[in-house]
Amino acid sequence: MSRTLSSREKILAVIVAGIVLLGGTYMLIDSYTSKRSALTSRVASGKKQLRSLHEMLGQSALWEQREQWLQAKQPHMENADTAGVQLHDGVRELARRYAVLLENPTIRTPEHRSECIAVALEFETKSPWSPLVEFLEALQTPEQFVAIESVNLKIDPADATQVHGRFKIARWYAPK
Amino acid sequence: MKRTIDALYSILPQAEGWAVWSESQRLHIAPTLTEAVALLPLGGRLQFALPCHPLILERLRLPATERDELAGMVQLQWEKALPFAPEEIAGDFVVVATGETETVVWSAAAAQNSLQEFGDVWSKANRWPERVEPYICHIAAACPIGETVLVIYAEQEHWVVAIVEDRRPSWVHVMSASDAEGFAAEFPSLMLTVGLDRVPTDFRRVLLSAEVLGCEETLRSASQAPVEALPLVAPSAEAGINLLPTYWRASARHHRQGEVWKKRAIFAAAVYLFFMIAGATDLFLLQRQASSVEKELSAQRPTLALLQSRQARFNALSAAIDARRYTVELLYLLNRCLPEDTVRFTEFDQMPQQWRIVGEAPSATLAIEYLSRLKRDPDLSGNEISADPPRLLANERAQFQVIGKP
Repeated sequence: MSRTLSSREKILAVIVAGIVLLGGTYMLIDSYTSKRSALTSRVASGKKQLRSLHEMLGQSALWEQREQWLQAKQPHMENADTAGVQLHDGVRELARRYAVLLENPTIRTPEHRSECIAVALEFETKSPWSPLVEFLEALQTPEQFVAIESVNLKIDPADATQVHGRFKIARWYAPK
Repeated sequence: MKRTIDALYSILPQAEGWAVWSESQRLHIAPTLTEAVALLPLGGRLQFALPCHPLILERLRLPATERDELAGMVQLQWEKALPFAPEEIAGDFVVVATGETETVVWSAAAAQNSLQEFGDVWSKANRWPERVEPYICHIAAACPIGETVLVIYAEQEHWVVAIVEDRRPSWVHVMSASDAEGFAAEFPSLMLTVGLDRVPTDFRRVLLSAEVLGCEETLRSASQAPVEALPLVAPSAEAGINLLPTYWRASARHHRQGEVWKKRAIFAAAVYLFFMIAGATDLFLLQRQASSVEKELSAQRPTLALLQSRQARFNALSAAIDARRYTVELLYLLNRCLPEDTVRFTEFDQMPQQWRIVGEAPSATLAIEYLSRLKRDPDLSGNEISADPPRLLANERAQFQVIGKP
């Protein structure tokens, strides 16, 4: 059963309604601003990713070309037992051609990696700077797929014209 | 600027109940005031005509003076004659005639309690009239100008006898009789009272409403004036009396303020709602935009993955196929930065994670210059180059060591 509110009850009701309204409005505004901020950053981040993506996709032809080149040029290992020997022979031939003294060659067993099968060869050299540079220039060309995995060159303390080198090189064959 | 004038709606007491009028057009007739008020259209100004029975109607002879002073005298008269406090009385008067020494006024007053039954109806409807006047004032305003007229009519169950002078009520009496027989018995004594009160009785005509037909004989025996039918009386704006009680006035003001606040509240709610809708729309649009961007990203993801896998494969093999990463290329770059022939390397290391050179220079200045040349070289900019301060050797040369991380 309803009855008319007294003026004090009305004032109290107005105050309570005002507090509820203000509180509700505050929560709404707070929720709105936080959601808006989250959405704005989502949109900004998404747009940034899209821009980078479009830039990358703009180079897709280049990467397609490189992929095709890799597939065409990367050597395929036919015989794991002879691959190391072939690499050693090649290096020895180059050393002879450029008058670089090759010492202590060691062939490592083929190593299967995610992108390639590496056949490594360790050796030491002794030569002046100039033949060594020519040797290195001939050793590494793109179509040979030879990487120098580590190198240490040191001037001979007794003869400053001679350079001692310790190399670990590898030919990277296409993975199976 | 044009200002719209609200329509005026009136409620008048009739023999058969209450009539609702819009300006001078009768819209409805209702048996009770509650029903009549419910039939009022929304909006517009309201005016309410009171029947005579709850009113104290007096014809007073007062000294000739200004209207303000007359008002004071009439007020004094009510206070003396009526058993109510002055603030409980709602009253007004009209000047009927003004002589050299005296003024005749007709006053109508009511205790606010006696108007309670009407006030309750208006209160329940939450609407209040702007003007309240006796119905006889509307009848008087409908009489011919300059004539003294005897009017007999019915207000619901009450018969009313009124004398109108020049369209103003001059003397009014609510009869106890409500039929022709009773009228015939009561009317002669009323005329005697009228005579004693020195009210003009030389009527130019007698007007009878349809409900009191049957008493013509009595009237003809009392007056020579022609008896005519009272036409339908429309509300008049010239009634000249306003009996609006202070409580009604305050309630009307309160109601008006309430309406104003209600409109403001509705406006505020509309603004609030507008902002809520605008906010929700904004969030919705942003959400849609974010979804659209993410959808596009998802659609491109397989292409991106393929591209990234190609990049990763190429980069993993770059030490073997990218000439810029060959040892001889690095040696060339390191060599071209040497400031003089006297500066030379003594040791060089290269591994996938970093390279290192050790060398000697004739002075620390040249060693430092070499380092700064390395850092400035654009082709070495992809390397993070650092060096310790040069170390002076026993032969006065400076030994330096530089470390680079691709």
